[in-house]
Amino acid sequence: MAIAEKSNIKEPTGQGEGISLETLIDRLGPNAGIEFFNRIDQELRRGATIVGSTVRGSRGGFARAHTTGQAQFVTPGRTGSRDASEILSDSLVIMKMDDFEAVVKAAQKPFDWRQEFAPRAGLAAAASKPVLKRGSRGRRQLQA
Amino acid sequence: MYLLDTQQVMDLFGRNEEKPIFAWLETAKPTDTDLFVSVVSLGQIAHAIEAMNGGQRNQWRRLFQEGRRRIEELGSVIDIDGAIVDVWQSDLRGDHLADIDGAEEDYGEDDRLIIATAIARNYALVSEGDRVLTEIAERTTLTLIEP
Repeated sequence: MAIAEKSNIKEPTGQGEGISLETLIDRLGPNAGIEFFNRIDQELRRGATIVGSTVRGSRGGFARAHTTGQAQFVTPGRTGSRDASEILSDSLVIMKMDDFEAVVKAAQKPFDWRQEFAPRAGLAAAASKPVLKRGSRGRRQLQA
Repeated sequence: MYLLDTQQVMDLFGRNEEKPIFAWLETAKPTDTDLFVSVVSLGQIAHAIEAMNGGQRNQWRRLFQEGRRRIEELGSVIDIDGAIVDVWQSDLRGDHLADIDGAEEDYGEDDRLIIATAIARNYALVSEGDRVLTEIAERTTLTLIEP
């Protein structure tokens, strides 16, 4: 699956309706927005825009949504006169749990042990660097 | 999954980013659920801190308190359980390592319980390593990583 990059966003040609990747990024954040976009069914994507299926059309989409990376995006009603954020708010998504999990995880800041144990205000790095020498008979003894 | 040996835990708690453990963390990038510490290591560190001199001891007590609190919050502390004791009993305890030169002197039962924890959980032991540990790794399923 091609990874959509924000730098590659292009206006769709001849597509007046739909949700742009840019709008998704504004609403969900860059990582989750891109991950979500990439997990929408290719057939619903036009360049960097998602053109949702209708409610009626989505009935046949449940089976496809069972497959990872083919989440269905359903836009209820007519979309022509509405702005993108309004369409996005009213839209529905049918997606496999694996897709949902990937989007949620993409939105999370990755855990960093280095950062967790970096010196910080009120807790400076140790002035000494003790070495725990493997000691004799069951003890580790502190080496000065 | 990784189990930090005691020295690596102490280096982590010491927050001194020049220590090799920090370079290893940058390379391995373990997640919050990938890295563990034996409760035995916490005991060894607490013991070592009490042997320090005054000023050093005070700073290390605080570093230890904060470090321990954080890894407990993350659920990264491993207690000694039946599976660990089984490995210790069958492969590492007492005379099991008597034929490895230096093991009797250098590896106490607390160290062996840490090794048993890594084996029982099938975690790689992140340790500075030495000849004894290498020999233990050769005769058991222990995986050793030197940061």
